[in-house]
Amino acid sequence: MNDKPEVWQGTLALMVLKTLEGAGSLHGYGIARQIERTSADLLSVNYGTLYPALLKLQQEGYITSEWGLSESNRKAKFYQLTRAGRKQMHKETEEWEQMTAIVARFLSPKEGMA
Amino acid sequence: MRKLRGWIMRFGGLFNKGRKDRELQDELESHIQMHTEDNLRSGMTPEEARRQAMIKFGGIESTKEAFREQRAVPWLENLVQDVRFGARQLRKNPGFTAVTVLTLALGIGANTAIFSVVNALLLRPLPYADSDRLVMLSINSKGGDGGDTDYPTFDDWRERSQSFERTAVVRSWGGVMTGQGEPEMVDGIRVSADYFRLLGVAPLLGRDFSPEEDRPDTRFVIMLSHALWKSRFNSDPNILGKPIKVSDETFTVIGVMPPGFEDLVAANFYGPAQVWAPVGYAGTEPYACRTCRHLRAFARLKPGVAFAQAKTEMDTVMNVIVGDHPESYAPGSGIAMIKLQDKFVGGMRRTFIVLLAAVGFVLLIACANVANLLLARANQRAREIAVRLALGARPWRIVRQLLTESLALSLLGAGLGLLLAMGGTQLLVKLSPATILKLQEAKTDGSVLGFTLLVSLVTGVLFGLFPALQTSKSDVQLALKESGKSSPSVRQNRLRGFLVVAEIALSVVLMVGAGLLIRSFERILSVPPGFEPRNLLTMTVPATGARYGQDAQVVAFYRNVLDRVHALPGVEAAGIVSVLPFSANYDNCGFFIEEKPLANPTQAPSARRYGISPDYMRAMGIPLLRGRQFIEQDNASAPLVALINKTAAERHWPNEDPIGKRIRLGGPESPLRTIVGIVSDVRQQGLDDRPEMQAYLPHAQAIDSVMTLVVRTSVDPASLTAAVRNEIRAVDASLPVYQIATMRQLISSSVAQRRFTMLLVGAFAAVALFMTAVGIYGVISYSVAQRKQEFGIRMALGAQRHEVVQLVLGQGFRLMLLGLALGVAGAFALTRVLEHLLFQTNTRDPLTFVLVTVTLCAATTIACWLPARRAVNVDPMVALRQE
Repeated sequence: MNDKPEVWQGTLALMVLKTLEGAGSLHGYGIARQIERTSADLLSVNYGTLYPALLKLQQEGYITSEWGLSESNRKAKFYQLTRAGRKQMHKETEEWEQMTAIVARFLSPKEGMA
Repeated sequence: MRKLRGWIMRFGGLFNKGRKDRELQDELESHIQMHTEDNLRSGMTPEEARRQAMIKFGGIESTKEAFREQRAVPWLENLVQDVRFGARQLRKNPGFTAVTVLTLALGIGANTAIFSVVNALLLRPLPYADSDRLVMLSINSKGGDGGDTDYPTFDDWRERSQSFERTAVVRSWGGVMTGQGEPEMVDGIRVSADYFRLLGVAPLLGRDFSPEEDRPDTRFVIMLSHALWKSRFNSDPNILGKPIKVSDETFTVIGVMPPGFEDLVAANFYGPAQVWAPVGYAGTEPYACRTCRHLRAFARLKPGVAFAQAKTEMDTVMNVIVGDHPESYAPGSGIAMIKLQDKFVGGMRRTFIVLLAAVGFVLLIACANVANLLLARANQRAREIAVRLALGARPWRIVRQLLTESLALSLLGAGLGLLLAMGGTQLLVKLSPATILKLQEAKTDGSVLGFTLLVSLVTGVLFGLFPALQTSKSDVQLALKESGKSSPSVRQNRLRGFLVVAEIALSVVLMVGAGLLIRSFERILSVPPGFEPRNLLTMTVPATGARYGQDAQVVAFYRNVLDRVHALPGVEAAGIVSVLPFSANYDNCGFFIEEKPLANPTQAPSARRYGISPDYMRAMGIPLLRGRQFIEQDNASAPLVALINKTAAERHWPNEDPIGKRIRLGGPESPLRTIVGIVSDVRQQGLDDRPEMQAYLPHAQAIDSVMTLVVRTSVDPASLTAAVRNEIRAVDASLPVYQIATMRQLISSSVAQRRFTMLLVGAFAAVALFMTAVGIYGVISYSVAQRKQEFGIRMALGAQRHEVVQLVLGQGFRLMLLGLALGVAGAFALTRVLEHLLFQTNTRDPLTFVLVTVTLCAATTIACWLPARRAVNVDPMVALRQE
């Protein structure tokens, strides 16, 4: 577990948004598990860092929250994507893709040389 | 935008924290629960399931903390908390708070008051548009910024230069305004047509001068100051075009200046102006010759032309002019150019820098005192702080808390100080000599408030940081073990000692500075003015107007007045003089010796010129050294005579008797006069004047129409004012009488500037000494309190009372000696800046240093005496029982 890469600070927000896009409405624990599952358990989410990140997204108006009942009938706070959140997600996704494409271009010739 | 929204939400997070905390708690709890359930489902034991869930989550508390930090604005919350806590602390110690705030208020208030003055005087520009482009031009023969200029030279400058947008000359003016009300002496200046446009001011009513009016035949137009228009003409809206008379010449009013306009040029060189008229010169006028230097020239630089660039151009221009007329300029003549602002306040700059430094010292001393108080108090709070440190408070958090407290103190001090400063500025303006221009403008404005705020913040950090750092570093173990009894570390005691030593050193420097200024003032007052200043009443009365067209009429008028005044009871002698010593005026004339002709008349030495009545010397008490006085028979039909002073005699006839020699006073064409006597030197403008050549002429042989009456009395001179005026009125009621003063008043105002500086630095030194004594008292009594048991034991073991007193005094004197040594060294280094303010006083004047040392010893003794008495009054039994 310790050698799994931690989620980068900046990317956690994007992952949360993307996860909520797919799931519609989800509680904190669910989001964390979903992220781990999506990454095929290659990533480890420090659950503690998730909550301040959720709060920040909420303050910026990208997600909203309401109390509801979980699958196991437990009271939990559910998060949903807002319209602004959806826009932000698309924007960040684009930026991310651009970035990775650029980085990939830097890395590929090296690979060829190796 | 989203970021902004985020911040707004965070500020919203400052409220309703309890509910939000509970919500978070619930959310995290449900998270752990769900995770535990999942783990159970994957086959863990209940304990293991929950433990793993907790591990995976990380620290619950640190998550909450991170969440809270994201939720609101932690530094703001901390600040609010610190301020609240600080306020509570200050309220809990009203004595401490009051002493501290008062000390700071005094320091900050004094600084703010001096800064308001410096701001008005040195920092704020002159009240004219783009005033930094205004310069003064003058002919410069021996370095220095020169003074007067003649009309043809000015005309050449105007014609040949490219650097200036406008140029103007002014000369002194004034006269008796008659018609409509009492005759009144009005002061003013004659100006060339462009003058007001050069300053960038427009009249309130009417218009200003046109170039066509600046000619000898058309110059009879006049502009009035707002104050004169109001007082003499009742703010008459139809004043324009009306004729008014000044010294029997009729002028047409063409304009009235706005109320806020202050003619600083006139005020600086001639006295506040009430009227303006055109110079009206042309090259043909007799007083427009190239050596007739009685004008002052000004110019406004074109936009984009640098000062240095203009100066270079004018140097070239002046070289050509001097080359064209070598007979009219002294060898080596050039042009002097100075910014108007520098000309007006340049002389004050150093004085105010000294004052600013002095008052800064006072503030530093105040800071040291407050820091010492804070240290003492921090010591009492050592346990509180140790507990907080032990509970995990970060040292920086404690420092921040303590700094917040000290900033609160300094802001309170600044608030009170600002009130003090407002009063103080008024007082400064009132105390200041009238000759300081622009001082009336000193007031509390934005930049003064900014200055106060800055000073108080710096002060707060300055006196707060040391104690705060000290305290936060304190040894937790030790402090807790001390079971509530404070015992400061050696380092802390040393810091307190260091602060007091620094205070002593600073006050020594201040006291030496004040001492030197006092010594210098004493010296200057002991300079004999060359006459007997006691019991002298003076007033000026001009004999102008249609009735005084003939010289004989003028002579008869003054003779008549003198006879009547002399007959008054209480009057011993009465005379008249054209220029009264210490009247801030002077009249120079060329001094040509018959037997020593000059190739270039501009190289003639110059002498102060006085037209006098025969009795003037006796009335003033100016001793005759050789020869004879003037007598009534030295009249217009008698051979021309003159008296010269000792300096003139020694300079030109060092080994000869000047009596019987002949001189011309004025120009090379002036008539020859025979020297009949030598009188002692008289100081004309100030007691610090260097001896200069002086020449006296009988009034009957050289008519001046504005003369000052000098009355020697056997009673209080001021008590005769009305009687003397009545005698003048009895001769001619239409003449104004003005500049009424006793000679002592005149001499006193001639040293007003020095007195002002001396009083201020003296007051600062006194405050510094007082604060330092309080500082010494504080440190010593603190140490006595700490050593109570020690003293008790000593006394129980048989120590005598005087031995204990010596112990305490010794501690105080060790601090004092160290501070004194540092202070004396500092004074040696720093008082050199006072040199130009001192009169015949060495900056290392031994007496000053001795007196400062004695004063300091006395203050230290007093400051240590009270704690020492407390030390000997310790009851050994009580002190030991406290152990």
